[in-house]
Amino acid sequence: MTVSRLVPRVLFLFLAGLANAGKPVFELEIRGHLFEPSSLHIPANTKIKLLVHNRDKTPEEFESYELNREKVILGGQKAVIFIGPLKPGSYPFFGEFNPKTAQGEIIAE
Amino acid sequence: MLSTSVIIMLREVLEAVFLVSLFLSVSRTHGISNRWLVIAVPLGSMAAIAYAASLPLIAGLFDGVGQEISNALSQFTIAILLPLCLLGHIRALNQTSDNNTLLKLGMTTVTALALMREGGEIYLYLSAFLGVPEWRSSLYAGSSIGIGLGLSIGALFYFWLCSFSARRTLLISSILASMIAAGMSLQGCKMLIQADWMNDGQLWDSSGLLSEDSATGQLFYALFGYEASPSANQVACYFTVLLLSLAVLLSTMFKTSNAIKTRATQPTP
Repeated sequence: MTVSRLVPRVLFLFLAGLANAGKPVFELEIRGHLFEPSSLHIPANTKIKLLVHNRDKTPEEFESYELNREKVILGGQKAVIFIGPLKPGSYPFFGEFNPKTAQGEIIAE
Repeated sequence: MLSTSVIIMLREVLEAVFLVSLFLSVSRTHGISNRWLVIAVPLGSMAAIAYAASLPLIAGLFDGVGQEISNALSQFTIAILLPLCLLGHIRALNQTSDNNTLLKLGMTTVTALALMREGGEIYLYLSAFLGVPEWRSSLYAGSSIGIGLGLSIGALFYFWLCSFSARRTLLISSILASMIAAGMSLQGCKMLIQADWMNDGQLWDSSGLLSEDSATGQLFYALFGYEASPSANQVACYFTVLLLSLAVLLSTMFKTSNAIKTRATQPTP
């Protein structure tokens, strides 16, 4: 592999690594078909990495129209969802499989 | 549990059912047989079960965003194949050739992919919650109602499309297919944004006009991939696919109609 081909590849990997580095991580739990915490505060105008741990045995679908996110999380698994950058405000989300109980909001401030 | 099951089943069934109804009605315009459906439905159903069963593996790929990437892949594939299928139908209307293998292959693939995605979620939901004894009866009732409603809406859609002349059905179907393909690509972009492979943003918020939470909003979501607050990437992708598809399909319809007129005016030997 010549230097002229190697350099762009190394640069790409370096930039990709940079891009992934430095995103604040926040965590949510699903327990008894409820989101804990039901209110999550995150910094506004910042892209964050949300880890959702499903502590129940049954799957849940994390969904939000305001955030434009939907992801099925199997029982006992954890999911990675990227959110933002969000303008300051409140963004509700719910569990599609248990919408009456699994409800929460992300507050960007 | 009952009302939740109705809504979930309805949402999942609607997306696949619109595609199948569209295919059946355009196939009718030039007498193509529907035997491809006999292969597509079992194939899609098996793919759905396989997808649901391998979800833990898929979800872990690409640093935890494997689900998003596989969803986006199937959505973009449908977005490309759907207008191509309509192109095949438009061409077939004017040919005497009986060889529609490629066309049937296209429709089978699109249907199977749609069934895989929607069926996968239905299978996950049912298999999980059927294991909870106190919810079983409401789960059965709700799912039956939801699936039944979805199939009824699909049937209505099919009969509405068939109520026109062959050429008008093709024209309306071409426009609808372009909008569905555009919606699919918008949803594909949503998956890439969720996976952090594409940037997020909010170009506008039309939830005041039409909320995604409403019945009409859900219908528009199933049919056209409606998003109340899309990002710039999503909007650009939507209109690119829509305009490209409309341009190709409508120009082909126009060219073939001219070809028919020319043939009609030429003296028979």
